[in-house]
Amino acid sequence: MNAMPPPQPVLEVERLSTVFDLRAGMVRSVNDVSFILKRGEILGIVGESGSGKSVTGLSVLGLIEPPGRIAAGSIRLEGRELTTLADAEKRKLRGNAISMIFQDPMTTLNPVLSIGRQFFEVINAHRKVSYTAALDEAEAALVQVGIPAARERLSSYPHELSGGMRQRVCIAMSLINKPAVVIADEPTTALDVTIQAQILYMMQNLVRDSDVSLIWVTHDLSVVAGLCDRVAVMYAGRIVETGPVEDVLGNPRHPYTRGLLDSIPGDAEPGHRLRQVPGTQPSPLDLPQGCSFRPRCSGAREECKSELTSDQVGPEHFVRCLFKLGGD
Amino acid sequence: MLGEIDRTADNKAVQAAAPHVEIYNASRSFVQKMSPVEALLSRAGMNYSDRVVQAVSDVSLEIPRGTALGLVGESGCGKSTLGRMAAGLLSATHGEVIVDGVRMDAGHARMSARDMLRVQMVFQNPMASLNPRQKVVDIVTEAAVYHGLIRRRDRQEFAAELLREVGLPPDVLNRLPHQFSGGQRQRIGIARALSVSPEFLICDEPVAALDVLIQAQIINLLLELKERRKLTLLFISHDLGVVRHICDEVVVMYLGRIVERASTADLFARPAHPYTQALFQEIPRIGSGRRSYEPISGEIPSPLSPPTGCHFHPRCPCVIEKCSLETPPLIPVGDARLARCWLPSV
Repeated sequence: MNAMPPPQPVLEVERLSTVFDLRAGMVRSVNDVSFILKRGEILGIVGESGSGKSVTGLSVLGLIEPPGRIAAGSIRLEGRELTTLADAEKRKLRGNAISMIFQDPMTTLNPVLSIGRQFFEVINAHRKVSYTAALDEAEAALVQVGIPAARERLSSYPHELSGGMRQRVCIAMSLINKPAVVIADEPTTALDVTIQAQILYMMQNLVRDSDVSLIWVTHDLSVVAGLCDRVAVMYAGRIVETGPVEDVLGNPRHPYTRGLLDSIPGDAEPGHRLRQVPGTQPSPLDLPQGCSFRPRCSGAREECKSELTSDQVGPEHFVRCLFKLGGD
Repeated sequence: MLGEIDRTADNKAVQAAAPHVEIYNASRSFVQKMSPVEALLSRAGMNYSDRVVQAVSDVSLEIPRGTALGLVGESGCGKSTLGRMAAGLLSATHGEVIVDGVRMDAGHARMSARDMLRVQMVFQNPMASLNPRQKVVDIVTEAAVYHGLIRRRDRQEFAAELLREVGLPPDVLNRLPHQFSGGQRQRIGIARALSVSPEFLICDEPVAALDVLIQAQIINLLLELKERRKLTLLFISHDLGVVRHICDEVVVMYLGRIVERASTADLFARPAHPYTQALFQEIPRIGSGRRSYEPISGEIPSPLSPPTGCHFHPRCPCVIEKCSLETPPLIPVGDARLARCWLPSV
């Protein structure tokens, strides 16, 4: 893979900062975040609540509303700058070249419109089609995401479907206009494990069979391990470690990534204390100077108060830490 | 400091022998009555009837003193209903729940307050289960004061001691729940449950709403408390990893029935029921790396109209004809483990 010339990435995010101007002060939700997304790739963005992972996704879609704003940085979709686009231009992109799957399918779908009607709206916003042609397309899309009796489902309303089915409908809707990039924000968190497995399996196949690139925002490292090609670990608004999944999870170099892995009970010895990271995330209004993880890090030293840069430690593997954990 | 619940000597002798918690053939159904229109139509000979959900059907289990039992299953499997029955918050439609030799029965006049205090519950959502307008000191001492376990003027000291035990600084006593993070709120919920010195603690998905680092802290706290206070735990969770870490024995439920019951070590080494196997296979793990899933197909059926025979048969990879016709009994497979399957794989 390394021998080939790198193809043009679909999405390039460079030094993105998204801030919220609150009465209590300015919150830097996303702080100097850079990443690229290649064609046909699945990138996982992992972090705890408040780490800025969702805001990163929303920034790419241009869905940041006041008091939030993109303070700096650039987002390029297939070479086209998105941060300076007018609202009308952004609307043309959303649901078309770039789309989103949200966590809760019940609040994403309109409860008083039939599934077919909602598909028609999504298609008709970008292409002039007849209602019946839209329904044909919708049916094919529902079949693709594994919904039985797809034609009948088009006349159902969201409340008549189970949670897993609703999320499948949302996924089909996000793919209907053949987007280049899909951003999925915790789409399986609200689902049961067997249904979650079905959705993950389906997403892998969909990405493999089409050209779409996927950003999977989650708090669950094990989902990342099972699904993604590359992963970016976020903490307090910054990417602290990023790289291929096998490298980052197999050989984490940042103490926070290590802490996340150690906190998963499944792999630890039963009945014994888990290795825990003390404390809680710092308030976004009052981030520690230098490394944000410093107050919770067992290896923190005086030098960690200085500004950090992201250092390359392997192919595509970057870590933002002065005292990286041991290599192999 | 903590008000000890006194007991007679022979009571103690009985307790030493019997399991702490016994559930015999407990069932619980919920009935949704027909609407007046539907009732009329049904009288006119149309096909309407009351809708009955059998949330828990014919569950028997016992929990030895000082051990932790894990209750695992997906949504709608009845695990929370069973937990509430064990806590005495819901009464059983059939069968009985006995804790410490006392029959738990919601709203039963013969149950003394002291018996009820021995069982406490920790809930999933720490925001919804704490009164947003009550200060922490009131939340954790209200029950103990009401039941006369402590004197009102000892409240501050008592609360500070409890908070220390669950890992919160004592200077937060006069704060309100919204001033805490999710993990801290869950610690308050645990402190409240401990305030009346229970012996049996029911935890209903206590870490499901928490971030993974905070989850680890709460799991460690529960492990410590179990040791220190010699608690018997009923731990309800959909997360097999958490259950494996905390519990001595695991019960897997599917649509109201126990499908498998085994010691944690046995269950994780060799799951006997196809549903348990499916649950294990489908959990993505760090170690397994990226791979193709082969998920079991199908949705979880509606508890309003569960499949005939074995509830799992429409989704089961190794289904035979008998499965759709007859409900398999919960039969022993190997040593001290049970599975509800015609073809258990042990």
